[in-house]
Amino acid sequence: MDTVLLVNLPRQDAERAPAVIAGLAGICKSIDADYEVADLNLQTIRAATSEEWREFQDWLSYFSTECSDKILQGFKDLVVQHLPKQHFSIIAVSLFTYETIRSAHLVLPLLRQAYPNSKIVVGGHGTDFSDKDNNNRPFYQVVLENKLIDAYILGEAEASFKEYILNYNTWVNTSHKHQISNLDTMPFACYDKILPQQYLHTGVISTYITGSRGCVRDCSFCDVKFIWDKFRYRSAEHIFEEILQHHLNYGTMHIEFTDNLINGSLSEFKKLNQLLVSAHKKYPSLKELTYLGDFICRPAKQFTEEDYRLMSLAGGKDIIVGIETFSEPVRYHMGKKFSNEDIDFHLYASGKYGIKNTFLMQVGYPTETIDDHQINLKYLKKYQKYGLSKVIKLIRWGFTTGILPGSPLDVKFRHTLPLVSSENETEVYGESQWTTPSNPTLNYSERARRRIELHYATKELQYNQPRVHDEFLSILATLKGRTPPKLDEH
Amino acid sequence: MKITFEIECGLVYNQGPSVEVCINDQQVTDQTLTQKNLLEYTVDNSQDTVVKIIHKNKTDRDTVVMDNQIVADKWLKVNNLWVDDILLNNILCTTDCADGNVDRLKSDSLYLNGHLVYQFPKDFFNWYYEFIKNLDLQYIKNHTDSEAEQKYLGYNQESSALPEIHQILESRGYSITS
Repeated sequence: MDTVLLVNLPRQDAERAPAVIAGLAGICKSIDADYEVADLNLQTIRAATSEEWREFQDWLSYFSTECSDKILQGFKDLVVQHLPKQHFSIIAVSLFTYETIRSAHLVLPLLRQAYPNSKIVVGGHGTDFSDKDNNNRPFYQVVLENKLIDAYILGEAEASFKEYILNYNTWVNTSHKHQISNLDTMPFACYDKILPQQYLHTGVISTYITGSRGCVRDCSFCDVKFIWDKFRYRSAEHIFEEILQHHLNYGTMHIEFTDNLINGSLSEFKKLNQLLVSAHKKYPSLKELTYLGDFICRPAKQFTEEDYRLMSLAGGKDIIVGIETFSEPVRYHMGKKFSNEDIDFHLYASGKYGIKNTFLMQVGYPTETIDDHQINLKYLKKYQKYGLSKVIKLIRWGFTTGILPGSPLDVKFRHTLPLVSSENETEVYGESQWTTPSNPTLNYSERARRRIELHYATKELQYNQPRVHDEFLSILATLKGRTPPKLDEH
Repeated sequence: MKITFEIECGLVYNQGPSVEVCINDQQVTDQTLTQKNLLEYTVDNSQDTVVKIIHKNKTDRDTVVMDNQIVADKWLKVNNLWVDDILLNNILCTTDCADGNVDRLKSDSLYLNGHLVYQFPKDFFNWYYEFIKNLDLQYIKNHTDSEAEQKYLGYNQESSALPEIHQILESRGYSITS
């Protein structure tokens, strides 16, 4: 029987066992393929000092251009030490994001050397990402040319991984982006060889679940629709069965949904909550299970008080909500069709049923006027009791609005507003230095000013805010005309 | 400020416990509770408020024992507490039972005659914020996980970049209202 080695690379979080590897393991298990896992991300985090890890991850995340030889050699030694000493037919390397590209360049030659007769295949979001160290060519082309890999799978690699395992000797590489049409056909993730309790959990055993891919919305600032053309979701029954399996097999007490929106499919989300609550009688320990996910605020007639009650009972006590702005005209332009009355109701129901919110906000959207900015300041005061009582546990104003490639702001509104690049723009992350003749006073300095003003107001009203220092360093760099460090927008 | 208690009770012959509620030593309720009860009061948030929920008149006849098993009993349990419709953790009460036991570890139930005491300091939500902050600081002190990091960042909103940002913006003619 063919055997597979699943390789996970830095840099990734290690709070929970890697979902992608668990997904691939589930596929192997479903076809009785023997497999092993080398989680080089976890091993690196465990072996490195915090200073070494910081330097290494800054380099992997392209914050810095260099990393000391000592750290690079240490990483390579660790890789060699942790690779299983047995033959594998297939070495499957997961490139979770662009932040795994540099480590892949270090690891792939070592894999080739350790397993000269194995087929090496790569997949994941990082696979066709621009390789900045190689003239921005797609990563897979660079490593294929250098004979470091034999195959690559673009798009959702899980869609074709089973097919690859069964036909790896005759596999033909293609630029087609694979996509799973029916998520319910995917086997459940398997954590047998990456036990969740080994990871850096926060006191409770926790695993990821993917309930859907893509998004039901097409928000103007967001590139999700560009990456995931079609919204697909699993049935509530399928998700519930997987949660139950992880709970019973691994003691999972907390779920983090990777979905863009956990309530994208409202009917399935409501059904999932009902299934979880109904299962309390048979599995009392499920009462203590909690989940975290990204949630869209909806009108009260769509998501009622009873739905909030059920969500809380089912364990949905911590949600991340893209409110974006308290100005309705700006929010509507973004394509977020919920009113301020809906936010009032959302906060009321969250407060009543003990649901904590992280609000994701934006400053300086292209249509934001000074009056819209004042509305943001006004609503901070209005909602203060929700901040003090931690119903709003965090509020993040982030950077100022950037134009993400592929987003509607880039593709559609760039021409209609229009959006114009500032004269001194260099390579600025998210193209934050735009201006628009339709709102001429909203240049970058004004956006920065509003951002700082909101910071002071938020702080004075005692809301908690995350990561402000990172954001201000980025704003400072942009104001000085330098390329700011690349940080996650949300 | 609105305070709402959701109280569940044990019944004997379909009768719940006798309960008195006092706010700042003034009796506001004296009734026999049913299985599920919502008690709602409006208090003045500009002064401290103490709510006492007193379980009284329980006798041996209110505990029915058959074959050495309690088959029915009068008791009460505060399942939920809301202040201005915001659900709060059960952190505000202490129990003082009639037999002299004082449970400072906080309980939300009374199986004997006695009372639950809920204290609502004035300017309640500001007090509550400080209370949670102190709990969070303790957590940060004792943990190094991502939750501790998130809590730390949440409260630490200073940035050495701010003075320079101010300087640049002011030099460009922008003023920040802080």
